[in-house]
Amino acid sequence: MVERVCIFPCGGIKKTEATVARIAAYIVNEDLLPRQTMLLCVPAFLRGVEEDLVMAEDYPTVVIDCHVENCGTNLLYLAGITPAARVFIPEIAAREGLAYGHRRRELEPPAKQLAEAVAREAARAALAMLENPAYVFAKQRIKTETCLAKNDLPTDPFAYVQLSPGLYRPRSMPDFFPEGSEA
Amino acid sequence: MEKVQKVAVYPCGGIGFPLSSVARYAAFIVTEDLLPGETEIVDAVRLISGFTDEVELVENNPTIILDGCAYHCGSNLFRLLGLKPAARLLATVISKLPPTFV
Repeated sequence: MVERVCIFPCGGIKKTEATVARIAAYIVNEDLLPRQTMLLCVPAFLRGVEEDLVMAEDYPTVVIDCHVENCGTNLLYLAGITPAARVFIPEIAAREGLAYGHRRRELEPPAKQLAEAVAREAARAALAMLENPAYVFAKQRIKTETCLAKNDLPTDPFAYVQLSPGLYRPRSMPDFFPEGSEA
Repeated sequence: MEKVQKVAVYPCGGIGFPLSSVARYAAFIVTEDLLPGETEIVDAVRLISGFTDEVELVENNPTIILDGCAYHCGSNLFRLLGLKPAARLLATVISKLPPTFV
């Protein structure tokens, strides 16, 4: 059981899916789990803003990857942080039968619904970490000698295990759903 | 000296303060409404992941950075990467707000 959970939407901007990830993170942080979640700000994290470093080191992180490029996962890997869970938007979009649309500034109605579905999935994982008394999160330390934009990244750096369509856990991280419950 | 074919626009990419959303929105206006085809948004996480097209975008074209708040994270990322922007806009100054993080 943890006090708070860090939500990390991939931080992209080029793809409409990135806006879905961003809006989903706001929904989790402001509507579904206010005061129990924090938003990881990519540029602040890279700049070394203390609060963003601490939230990634001391609390479990739910990363929201918007695309197969896995930029959110990649950034955590480069920083030496293993996420507690990963929400993968394309699988949730497929499961819900919702499209991303074409507008990056403000989402079209189906993409808004998709953001809400992504938010529910992220909140479901976060809530399990917050409420499951058996869940133990070990603090991590950021790797400080990251070589930005020069690495050959592995395809699946955390050996993700699929818990349900769109929801993953790194193989090395503890289960967050209570034993016997359905993921 | 070659004529510039394209200008890259990098909004800070933050999420915690409303001004980061302002920077992001402004970048969409520039690249989609004002100068479509002549400008392109820089995606910081793709850049950090080393995607070739994103790296080439900032290496081969001048970049305008839109810094949202006083942390200046957009400028700082470029410094970390060893890149020099062609110009920088600071949203707090344009909005005539004090350089706070709100």
